[in-house]
Amino acid sequence: MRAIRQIAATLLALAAMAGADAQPQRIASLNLCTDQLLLLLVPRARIASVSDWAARPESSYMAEAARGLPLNRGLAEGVLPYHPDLIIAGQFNDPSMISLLRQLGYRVEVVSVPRNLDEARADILHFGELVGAERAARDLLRDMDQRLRRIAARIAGKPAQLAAVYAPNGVTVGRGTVLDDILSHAGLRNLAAERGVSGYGQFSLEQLLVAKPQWLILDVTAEVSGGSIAHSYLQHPALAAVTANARVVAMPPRLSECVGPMTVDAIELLVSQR
Amino acid sequence: MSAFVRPVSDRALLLVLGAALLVLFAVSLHQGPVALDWMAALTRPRRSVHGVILWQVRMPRELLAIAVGVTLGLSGAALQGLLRNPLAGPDLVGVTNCAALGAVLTLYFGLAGLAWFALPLGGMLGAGLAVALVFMLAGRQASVLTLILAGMAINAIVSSLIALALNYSPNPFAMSEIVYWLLGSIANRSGNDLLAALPFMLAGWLTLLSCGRFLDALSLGEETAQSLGFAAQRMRWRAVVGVALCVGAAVSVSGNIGFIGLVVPHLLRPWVGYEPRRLLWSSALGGAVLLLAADIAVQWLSPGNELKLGVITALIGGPFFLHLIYRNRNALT
Repeated sequence: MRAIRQIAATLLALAAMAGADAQPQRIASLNLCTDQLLLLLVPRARIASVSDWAARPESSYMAEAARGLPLNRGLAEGVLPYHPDLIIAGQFNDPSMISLLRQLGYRVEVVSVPRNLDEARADILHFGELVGAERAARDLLRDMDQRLRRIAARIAGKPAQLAAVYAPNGVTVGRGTVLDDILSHAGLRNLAAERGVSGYGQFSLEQLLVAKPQWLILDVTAEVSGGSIAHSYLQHPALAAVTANARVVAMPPRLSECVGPMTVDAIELLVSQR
Repeated sequence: MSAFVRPVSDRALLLVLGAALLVLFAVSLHQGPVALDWMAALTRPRRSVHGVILWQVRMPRELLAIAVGVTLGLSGAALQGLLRNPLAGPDLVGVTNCAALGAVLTLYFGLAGLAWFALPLGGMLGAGLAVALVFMLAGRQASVLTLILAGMAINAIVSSLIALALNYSPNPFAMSEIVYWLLGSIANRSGNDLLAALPFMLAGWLTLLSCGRFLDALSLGEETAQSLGFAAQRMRWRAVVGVALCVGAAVSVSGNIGFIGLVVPHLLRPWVGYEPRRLLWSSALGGAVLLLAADIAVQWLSPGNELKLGVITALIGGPFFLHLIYRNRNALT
């Protein structure tokens, strides 16, 4: 009996060791959103490479953490020198590149990139399992949920004001986008979504003037060096007629490109101005 | 066509072109993504949303359409007269593309913010370089064909340079805006753009219009012009400056809108009795009419997500260009 117990204990210990071994040790990511989750959940020593977008402060919430890590350009040849034992790609990465990496014998996991906080819950947990960081993933979600509850309490009972998102080139964002989810969690109505825009769409300056939104969310990178025709849209003098009567908030893309704790930051940024 | 056309008086031509311009201007102000409340726009120009739409969104845009149209029509007529080449136009000989390159280098590398005139200045330097090059290439004996082929080569080089410059710009939108520079658009241009470019366009127009009598003399031959007392070389340089000023400034705020400078002088030439001086001002008006019509067409064809203006002008101008080549085929070989 005692012998059996000993054997069982040894087996368990072995299994635990095997489990530890199975935890990927050199993880590479090819997509901005998976880059940021990886940096949030996994110790730096187990990260082999992230995409160059992750290191750019204008697009990445985790730019500070990505500094010094080997960067790839979202391409197969960028990750191969680091001998990754797990490569994570987003659903929108080039499928031919993914099949090439698999032919070369690499383990590639394609994960879905969530567009709102509800989808993100399952995706973050699944991601945690893949990279061997289930606990960190659960902690992250718990923290996000706590903050979201505080936000919900703060905006409860306040009227849903009309907000318009405006980006360079007269682009606006409608249903099914991260920004749409950010607006609804902040207790705002998205003008473009109400006008039937799905995803990204054009919204002329004239339509914006007539709609008279109470909030104008400028979806821009704050410091862009060098001008462009796209940015000159946001300097049109007529836009002053909108901004005179609306609360103007610049929403940095690093908070609105991907879903995760940065999404909660974005919601807090809006709620703090109500 | 020209065989059936009788020259008409300046007054009749002015009346017809002016009336067409006024009608198109009114249509262009009325048309847009929002149905305009004219009552509110006119009675409360600053206080009402419709006032802002009329006076700050549509008015500057359509005035810019007129100014750019005047520039392209006028410079087309001037270049055809000066080079004595029926196939010349500011775009075909490479002047508009070079102006676009100058503007691109100014805008995307952060120089445009240095001064209000920096962007038009970039365009004018590019245009000046190109038009001087064209006149040197053309010399006295260049055939019609040499010039157009040289223009093709210049256009190929310069469009590549525009793409290369945009590729190296730090702005994330730069590369996608190559279409704007190669095909031209005045969507969402504001009063600021109009005011920055207009002084230089005006100076260019006046300079070109002052070349009218020289062009009349030149149409009788280089020697005749000299014997009539014109300093041909000096007059040519004056025209170079005029084209550079107005085309450079226009392109810097509208991109490269093709074929207007080629088509308009040809359509109007029979009506002015083939007199280059009369062709100058009538082509200026004709260019404005054609560009306004094209701008109404792009807004009507693709409301909201507008086509580029060059798409429309090339659809009209391309076949016309082929027709001209066919008609001049004996002179070209």
